[in-house]
Amino acid sequence: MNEVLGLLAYLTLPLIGAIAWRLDFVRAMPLSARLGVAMATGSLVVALLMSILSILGIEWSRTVLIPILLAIAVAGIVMSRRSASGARDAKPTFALAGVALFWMLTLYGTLTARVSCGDLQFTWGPKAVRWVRAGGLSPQVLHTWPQLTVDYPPLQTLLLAFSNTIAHQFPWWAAILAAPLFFLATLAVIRAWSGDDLGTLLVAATLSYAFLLAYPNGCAEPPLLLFEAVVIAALTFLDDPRAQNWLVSIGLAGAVFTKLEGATFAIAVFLTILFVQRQPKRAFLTIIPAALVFGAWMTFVFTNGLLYMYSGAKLPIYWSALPVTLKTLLKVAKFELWWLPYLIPIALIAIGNVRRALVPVSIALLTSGATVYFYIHYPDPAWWIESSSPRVILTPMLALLIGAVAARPCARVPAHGVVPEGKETEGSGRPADGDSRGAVGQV
Amino acid sequence: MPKPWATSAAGRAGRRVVIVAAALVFAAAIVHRFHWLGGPYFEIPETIQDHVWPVRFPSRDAIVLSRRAEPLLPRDATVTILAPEEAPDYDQTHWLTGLGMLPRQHLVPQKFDGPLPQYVIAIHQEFPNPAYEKIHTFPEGFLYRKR
Repeated sequence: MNEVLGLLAYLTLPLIGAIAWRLDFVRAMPLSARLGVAMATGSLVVALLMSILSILGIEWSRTVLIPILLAIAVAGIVMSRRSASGARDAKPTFALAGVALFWMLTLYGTLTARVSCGDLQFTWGPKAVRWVRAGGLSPQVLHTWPQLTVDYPPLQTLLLAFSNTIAHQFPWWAAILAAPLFFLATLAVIRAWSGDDLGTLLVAATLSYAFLLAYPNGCAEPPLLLFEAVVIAALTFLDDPRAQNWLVSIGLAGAVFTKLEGATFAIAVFLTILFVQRQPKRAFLTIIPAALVFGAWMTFVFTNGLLYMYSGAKLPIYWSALPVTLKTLLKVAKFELWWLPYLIPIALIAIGNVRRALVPVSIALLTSGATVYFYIHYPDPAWWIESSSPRVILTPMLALLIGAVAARPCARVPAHGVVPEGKETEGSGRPADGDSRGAVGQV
Repeated sequence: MPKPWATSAAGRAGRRVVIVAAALVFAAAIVHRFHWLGGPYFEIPETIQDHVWPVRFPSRDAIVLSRRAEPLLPRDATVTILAPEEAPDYDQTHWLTGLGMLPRQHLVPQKFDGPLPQYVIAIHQEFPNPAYEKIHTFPEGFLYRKR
C-alpha cells in the first residue's frame, strides 16, 4: 500500500505543476507538452515548498503538505480552465508506436529491478528517510551522517521525502518507478515542441538503452533530464521569446536545485544564449531564478557548515590526469555499443541543418568540457569517472539528440507563414511538415 | 546555407532509414542486456537491487537482512551492517543501506576501535568478534548483539 501511495505522490506532480498553465503560451500547447511542463514545475514547487517549510520550522506531514499542495493544484487547474483550451496533440504516427515501445522497455527494466541506481540505496534514499524522520530538511541529520553528500542540491531528496511523507514508509519501488514518469514527460516535451515523431523515436531509443548502462532510476538524473529537456527544447523549437524566457527559467532553476552538474548546465545555457543566440538580456533574465535558488541553497550550506562537494572547486587542477580522464570518459561513452548513442545524433546533425542545432550542440560541448574540468581536479580519477560518468554524460547525449531532431532536413514554419522547401527561415527548428498546432509560436 | 541533402526528399528518406535502423539496433541491445542480466523475467523481484548485475550484490542481501532484523532491533539502538570477509576494509555501502532501511535505529559506520555498535548485522558469513554474541540466523546472514 505504501508503494501505491508513494507512486501516487509522483503522479500528483503534474497536477501541482498545473499552476504553470496560467501562462497563456503553456495553455496553448498540446496536452502532452502541458503535462511535461507541469511535471517539471510541480517537482520544483514541491521541493521549494518543503524547503520553505523547513526554513519556517514547520514539520513535514500529510496534514501540512496535502492542503497546501491541493490548494496550489486546484488554483492552477481552475485558472487554466477559464481560458481557451490548448492545441491538440499531433496525430499519432508509426514512429510514436516505437516511442511507446521503448518507454515500455524502460518500464519493464524498472519493474524487474534492472536499472535501479545504487546511490538511491546508499545516499539519496537514506537522506530522504532521515529527513522525514527529522520532520524537515535537517542540518542535524547531515552533521550526524556526513557520508550523505551533505551539500548536494536537495530537489531529488525532497521529492523522495515527499513520496515518503505521503506513503508513511519509504516507498523504494515508487522511487525507481518515478524515473519512467520523468522520462515520459521528457519525451512528451520534445515530441510536442518539435512535432517530430521520428526524432522523438531516436531520443526514446537512445535514452532507453543508455539508461540500462547508466542506472539512473532513483537517482537525480531523470528529473534533471526533464529540466534540461525543457530548457534545450524551448531554446531550440519555440519561437515565442516570452515562452522561451519562462520555460528556460523554470528548467534552469530546477536543474541547479537537482544536481551539482545542474549548475554547470545553467552556465552552459547562459553562455549559449549570450554567444550563440546573442541575447544578453535573455541570458541574464533566465538565469536569475536559478541563481536565487542556488544562492539560497549555498546560504544553507555555508550557514550550517556543510560545504563538501562544492569545495572541490578549490582543489588544484591535475593536468597530468587529463589523458586518463579523456581515455576513461571515451571508454564510458562507448556505452558498449561503439559510441552509437553519440555518433548517430552527431551524424544526423552533420548531414542535416547544423545551424538549427547550434544551441543544443553548444550546450553539449560546454557540458562535456565541464565534465572533463571536474574530473581533472583529482590526481587519479579513473574509478570516479567509471562509477559516476555514465549518468553525468547523459546531459550532452540529450543535447545532441535534441540537436539531431532540430537538424532534420525540411523547411520550417516561421511565425508569419510557411517557407518554401529549401529556403532558410529565422524561426524555430519546428518543421513545416509537422502539425503546426503544436508550435507555441504559431498558435 | 543548408546542405542540398538537408532539405531534399532524399535527405528526409535517408534520415528515416538511419533512425529506424538505430532504433532496431538499440532495441536488440536492450533485449540482449536484459538477457545478460538474467532471469526470472516476469516476476517482481524482492528488492530493487535484484537484477542490476548478473551476480547478486551483497548490498541486495543487506536490504533483505535489514528487513528481517528490523523487528528484533530496539528503537534507537546503534547498528551496523558488514560483510565479515571484507575486514578490516568494510564496504561503506552496507551500513549506508541500513541507514535507509532501518529508520528507527541509529546506524553507524563499521568501526570497532571506539564505542561499539550495539548490534551487528553480518552478511553471508559469521562475525567472529568476541565482543558480540549471535542472537539470530537468517538465510542471508546473522544478527549479533554486544555482550
